[in-house]
Amino acid sequence: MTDQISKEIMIKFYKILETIHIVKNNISMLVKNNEIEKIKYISYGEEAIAVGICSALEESDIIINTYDGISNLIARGGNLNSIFAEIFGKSDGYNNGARGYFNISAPELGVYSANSFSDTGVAMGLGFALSSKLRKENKVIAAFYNNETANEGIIHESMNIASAFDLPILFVCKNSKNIKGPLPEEFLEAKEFSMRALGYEIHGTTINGMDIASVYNSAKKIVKNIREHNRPAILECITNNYYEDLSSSGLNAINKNIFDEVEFNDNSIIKNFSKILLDKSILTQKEMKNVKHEVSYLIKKAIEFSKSSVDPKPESLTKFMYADEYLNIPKQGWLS
Amino acid sequence: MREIRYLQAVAEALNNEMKINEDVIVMGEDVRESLRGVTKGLYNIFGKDRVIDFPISEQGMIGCGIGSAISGLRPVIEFQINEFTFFAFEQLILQSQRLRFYSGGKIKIPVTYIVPGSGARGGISGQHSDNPYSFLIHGGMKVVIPSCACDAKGLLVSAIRDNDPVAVFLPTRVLAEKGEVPEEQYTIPLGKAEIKKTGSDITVVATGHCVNIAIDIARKLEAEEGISVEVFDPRTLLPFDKETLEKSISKTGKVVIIDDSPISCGFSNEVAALIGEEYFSKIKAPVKIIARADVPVPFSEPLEEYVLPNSEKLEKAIYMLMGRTNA
Repeated sequence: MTDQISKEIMIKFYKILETIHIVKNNISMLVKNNEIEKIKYISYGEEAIAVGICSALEESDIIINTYDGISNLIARGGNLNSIFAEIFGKSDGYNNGARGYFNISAPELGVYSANSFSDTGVAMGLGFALSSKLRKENKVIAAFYNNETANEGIIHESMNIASAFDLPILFVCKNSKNIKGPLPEEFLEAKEFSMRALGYEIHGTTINGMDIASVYNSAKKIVKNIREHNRPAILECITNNYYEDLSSSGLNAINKNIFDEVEFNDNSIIKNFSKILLDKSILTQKEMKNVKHEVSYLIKKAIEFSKSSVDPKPESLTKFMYADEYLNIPKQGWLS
Repeated sequence: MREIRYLQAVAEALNNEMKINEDVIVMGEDVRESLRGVTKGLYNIFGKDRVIDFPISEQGMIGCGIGSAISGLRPVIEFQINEFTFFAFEQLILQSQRLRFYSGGKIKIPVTYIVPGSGARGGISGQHSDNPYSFLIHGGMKVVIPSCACDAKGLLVSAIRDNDPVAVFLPTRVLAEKGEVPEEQYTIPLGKAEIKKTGSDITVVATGHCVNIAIDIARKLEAEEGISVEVFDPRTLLPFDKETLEKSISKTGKVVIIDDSPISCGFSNEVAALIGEEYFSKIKAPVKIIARADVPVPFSEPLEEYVLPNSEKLEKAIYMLMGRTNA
């Protein structure tokens, strides 16, 4: 699969993967050092989906995130200072400290998020697609959801509307096999989630979501098709998540192996990809080390920047809430 | 000035606004055929790209509205039945009302929700008779409820031009009422109440179709009993024009609130709480509330009358506050 991808793109993929990985490692460290709070877990294992799909899109295309939106944001070229400032809850963050780690929105990069529920943003994607179609902007919208929310009504409503209205939207189902609680298959009579595409007369494919080349190549082909024909599609990406538990209770790191050839932990995707790069002589060990150093340095700077950024002011709440302000709203308890 | 019906005024406002601004589009269920009358004729003028019928999928439809609003369109979304707001509640509040906040104020979501035929109209039972605006206010959404044709036109235009989500409730009991409406397009700003009738003894805060009830009772009591009733119509429930209310209360010192939504944690209670907290020194009697009982609207019409606010209950409350024995 990697044969179809140019050397430059492979190197770009590697840099993004390392950035995502080192960012997550740093966040984990900050939580453990009590420098930031409120992050219960970090999920690894969806980086290949982020890199593959974001790279298959044009700059003007739109991404609707779910959890692990940070991988998509970085793959989309997210600014590390703004990312870390948001994680620290500071005013220089992407969302001025209003939203935090899990759900950063970056409208300037076409990245919309804000959903702790991994399905309900998908419907919003319909609107971006409709607007692009009406204005002939030729954008493709990638809307992410996951296996557990694939059974929500809003996902079905959205797929039906997208198909009926011929909307240019890619439904990306992140099918993580490594979950606590019932396995998705228990609630899925079909063999794969992508088979539900049949009912909406749209295209559906299931791929290995931990293989970056597979994600990139499939996404590129499907996105091209969506753009040309204004027909939606489902791309189901199978992954094997690894959760690092940062809370005092709750999730434990669970690690069931679904791909025989991969022993999975937080850096399996990057390990496998590095091996390909070495085997194909695209990068040397030393060059990879340089990339890591470079990325680590930028992250260190971003963390320093974020620590010196100021807290958001209560006065900004009104501006966050309403674009057109009026007297007396929002009421602020004892202040009003 | 010419007189037209409330519903015609709404349709005219929408039609004009679509002519003025091509970003304005209409979404809904049966909006091409215009089952509700608000979008009558729009499909023939503006075509399928701007008058869009959806399948019965409220969550998907509202989501679609939100995305298109962020992209720069100004969707006006019709809820054919007032309870459909419940079906789409997650999208209405967690998404449309909150996304701007979550983005740190970076995005605008200029979407207008219209609910023609809100409230009960006699014998249509509990799933078609709601006035669910208190829920939306609780979620921070701007809410408008015009009580007459002239207000309906001007307020709808303001709602469409506002850059945040605005829900416009059009009470079923006033849709056919006629009133003087200017022909040109005009706006009535959100957050500005109107004194619909001046008086000096008692203030009636009335919303939606209850404004008409209040005006009728005010006229009757003035003529028959010499009680001078002032009728205060907030017109927009959020933002709420408390300054105008303060002036009225300062004059009368007595308040009855009449509102056709459930009483507990409802809009009527919100106004009473405001008066208690900020204008306590200005009132000379307890605030009286006439609102819906906390039960669904029953099918039986006598029971419906029992549950809903009406002129008889308002009259009683006014007598009570005025210390009249006929209370």
